[in-house]
Amino acid sequence: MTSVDRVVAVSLAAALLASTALTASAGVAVGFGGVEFEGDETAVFNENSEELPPGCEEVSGDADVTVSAASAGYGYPLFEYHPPSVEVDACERVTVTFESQTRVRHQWIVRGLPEDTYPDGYFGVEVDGATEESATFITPGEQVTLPVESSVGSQSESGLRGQVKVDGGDGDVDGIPGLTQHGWREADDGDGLPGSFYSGALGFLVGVALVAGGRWFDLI
Amino acid sequence: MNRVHGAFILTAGFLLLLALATSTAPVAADSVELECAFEHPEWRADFSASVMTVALEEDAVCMPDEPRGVGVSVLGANNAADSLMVETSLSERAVGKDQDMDGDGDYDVVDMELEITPVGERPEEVEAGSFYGWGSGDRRWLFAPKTRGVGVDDAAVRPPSPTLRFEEGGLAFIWVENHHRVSHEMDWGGVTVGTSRTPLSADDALHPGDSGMYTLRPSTPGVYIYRSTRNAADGHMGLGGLLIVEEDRPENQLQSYNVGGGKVRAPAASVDDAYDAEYDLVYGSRNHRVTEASEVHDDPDRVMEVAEQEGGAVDEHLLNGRSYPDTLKESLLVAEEGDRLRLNVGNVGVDDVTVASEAGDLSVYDYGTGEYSDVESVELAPGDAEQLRLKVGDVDEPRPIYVEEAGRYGDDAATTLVASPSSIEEGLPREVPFESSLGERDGEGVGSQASLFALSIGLLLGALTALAASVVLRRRRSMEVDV
Repeated sequence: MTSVDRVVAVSLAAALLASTALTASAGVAVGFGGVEFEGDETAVFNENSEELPPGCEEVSGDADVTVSAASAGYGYPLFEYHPPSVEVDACERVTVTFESQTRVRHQWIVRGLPEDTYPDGYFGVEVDGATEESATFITPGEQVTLPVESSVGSQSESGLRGQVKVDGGDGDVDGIPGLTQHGWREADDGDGLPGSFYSGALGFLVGVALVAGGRWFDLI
Repeated sequence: MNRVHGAFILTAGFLLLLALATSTAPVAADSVELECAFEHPEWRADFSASVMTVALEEDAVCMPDEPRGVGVSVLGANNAADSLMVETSLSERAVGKDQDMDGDGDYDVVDMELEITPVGERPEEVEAGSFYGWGSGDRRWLFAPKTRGVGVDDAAVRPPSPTLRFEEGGLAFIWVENHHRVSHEMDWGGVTVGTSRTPLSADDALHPGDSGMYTLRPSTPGVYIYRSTRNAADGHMGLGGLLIVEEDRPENQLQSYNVGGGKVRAPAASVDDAYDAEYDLVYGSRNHRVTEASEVHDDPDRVMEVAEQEGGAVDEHLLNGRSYPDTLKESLLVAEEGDRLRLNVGNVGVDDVTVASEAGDLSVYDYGTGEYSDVESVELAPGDAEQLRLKVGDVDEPRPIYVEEAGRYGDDAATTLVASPSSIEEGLPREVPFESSLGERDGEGVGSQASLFALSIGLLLGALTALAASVVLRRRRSMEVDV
């Protein structure tokens, strides 16, 4: 081993040890391998604290809401929002603080908002890792229930579903763990027989028909 | 009419049914120009003179990689300008690079975050903001670079899982987050994994919502596969990708992610020295029953049940997540006669594939000896990967790179073309332009699909049943007459 090789080997070992120690101390994925990230990453989508949605003549009031995303254990649900249902007034300016109690990325996305005010009809907050972020939106000027979900991976199917009830809402969103759903959804079209069964049955019937026809006309 | 006529009619009926069942129904003429509806044609350009400080090769395919995302993959998000990051949906944690440990002018420590995620069409009801629809719409599962934002950005998240590149002698710290509703378990294909690996569960699995960190010490150059081997559905759904360890070279800036496979727009220094271009070709398989189960069932146990029932059964092979001619959109190889192409090939499916070429001479690179061996084809078992060299022949008429198993699954299985720029301008063929016939390429011929087998068996059983019934009836009648 040359001196250069030794220097490289020592450097490698030192870097590995330093990185491992950094990882252990950081806990969450911040600078875990020597690269210094700026911190936990968060994002806000379509924040709006000024523009009034259709049906609103003025902001009816201000409210603060805190929602968290948490693991719920293995099985169903895997994740859940606390609280899953949020009650607000129409035309209310709502500041949402969304926090994650897990180590992975989550979102709190309110869908079904007026597209004139919210591009693509949604407002949301994203947090990556055990951190929090706040953002503000103004609720619609009508009595409505808006679905809430996380679009990350299959988190929505795994329990991250909720609702925002404006002025009491107009019903409950389907599929919220503990409120309107109590297990994995059962598909209504997943129990069909395999395609080969139908092919075999078709072949059987055609075979019977051919022979029966042949006998009927005294061909066989 | 007599029995001979009857037997003739029966045989003709059987053959007619067989012909109907085996027809692959080609729908177009031999050479029809494929349409390319892509809203970012500027992504194809040579970005060498761009402000990114990263030279990207031109990519003339219909849907090239998003150049700013490639730039971030080369530089590392921590070294990329804010203007570059704003233009991509990659998270700052997708890839970071730091520390020139051997002093040769490039970063040797790479931090990555991958997310295990399903991709597919979400129920329209969700996007419309009303109530939730049935099922998840999963069509494929993949490892994706960590992204940010609502929904899925095809530029950063699309099948297959991205090819990962590391330099020999470096260090890689890879966090894997499982956003999927199914448990998975990492297999790094033989690349040395350090002792600081920290999965959260005691059984080495990444359960839904878990994240684990893996420390890789890529000490031996080569082409490997990383994948999940936790359950029977992982291979069917394509949860794996190529992992390439490049030789240590000075100022060796590597493209850490090649999203969607296909052309490597920022090749390693060793590739620049020996080849005219480099392509990643990831072969996978699809079982329609497992795919359907994943689309319609939320419950992972139901998906696993179907996957275990299906075992190693395959309905089609895929190349970089697509079938021909869709493979041409992203995985077309553009070359001139005499070019030398480096092909990194790997199998993340559940069935063997045998890769062959009509586009030139293939050889396999032996990392141990540094020698090439000429081959007619290369067989890849699930989890296998190789580095190939293709010496391109005359491709003024586009020539295919295909899997010999196409004989069983149809000409479109996992095939792409090698074409010269001039032939691309003339239009690419909608059907694979094989020189040899199907039978010559594969002795098995068509017709081994389960449904065809069942159809034939059903036909024979039906005929035998009817014959037996007929014989019994005639005997009864004759006995009645005797009485």
